[in-house]
Amino acid sequence: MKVFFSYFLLLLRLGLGGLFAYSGYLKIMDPLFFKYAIESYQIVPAYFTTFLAFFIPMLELILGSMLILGIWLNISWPMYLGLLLVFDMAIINAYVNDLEIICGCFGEGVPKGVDAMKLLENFLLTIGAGIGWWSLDKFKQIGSLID
Amino acid sequence: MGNIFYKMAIVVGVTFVISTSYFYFFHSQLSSAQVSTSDVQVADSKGAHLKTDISFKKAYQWHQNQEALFLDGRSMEEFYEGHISGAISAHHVTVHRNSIVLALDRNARIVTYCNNEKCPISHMLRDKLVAMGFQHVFVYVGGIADWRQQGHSLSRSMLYSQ
Repeated sequence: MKVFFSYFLLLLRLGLGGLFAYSGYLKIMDPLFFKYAIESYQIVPAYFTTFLAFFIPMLELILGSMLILGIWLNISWPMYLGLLLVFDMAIINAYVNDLEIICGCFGEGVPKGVDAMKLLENFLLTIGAGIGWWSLDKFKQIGSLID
Repeated sequence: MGNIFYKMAIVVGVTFVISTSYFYFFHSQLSSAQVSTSDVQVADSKGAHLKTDISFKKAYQWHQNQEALFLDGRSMEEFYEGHISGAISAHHVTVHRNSIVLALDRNARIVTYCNNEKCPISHMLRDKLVAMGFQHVFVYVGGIADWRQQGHSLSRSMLYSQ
């Protein structure tokens, strides 16, 4: 059972890491679009959105790559979870206030608004990240390059 | 625990350095697009300066006299459901690749709009068009909701869609 769970965790790590890295890559390709997406959430002041439009996608790409390669999992999982929680709060805020926004989640690849499905999607990603972090000390980590 | 914070600081630091470098790489592109949504002033064809947000009265006048091109920044589905007649579908996300928009005269008077005054898309589209070199871009803030409220019907022609 423990071996099975170790392989499940490997798939979870590769899947979530790949998703995060891909999402970051799309935003990096069009930072102007992501800047508009952040502005549409109406949470951070306009002068700060330019910095975030460059910083967040790069952090996503780096954290995603760390998860895929299994580098410093004891910090990449909690940082990944933290970033997802920030995204969750932003999306819940937009949903509650009925803001007409572009999600910005996958760059300009898949532009769509916030709906109940999007909330569920983010919730599942957050649960997945939580499982990944929780399992660190309990199961053998397969394919980790640097601990 | 200290080791963890040390590693986190390294990750954040490396991300900051790379993203800052990347920012300077794209600086010229972004700086030309950073236009305030309320205070921007552009010169109109007569050299006077006007605020870029316009009301129904001005939008209708330009529409009737064919003095401006109307760009619809919403999705293709929304455009199909109904748009201001003669408007061009120019989704704000892909406008920089829209061949119809790319072929337009940069000095043409353009009016952007979306669903209603709460919708940010028309301002985003305006910013992007300004970044693309268009000189006279205005935002019809009321958008589709205001247009209908004033008693005007919407078109479903897909002539200018892409």
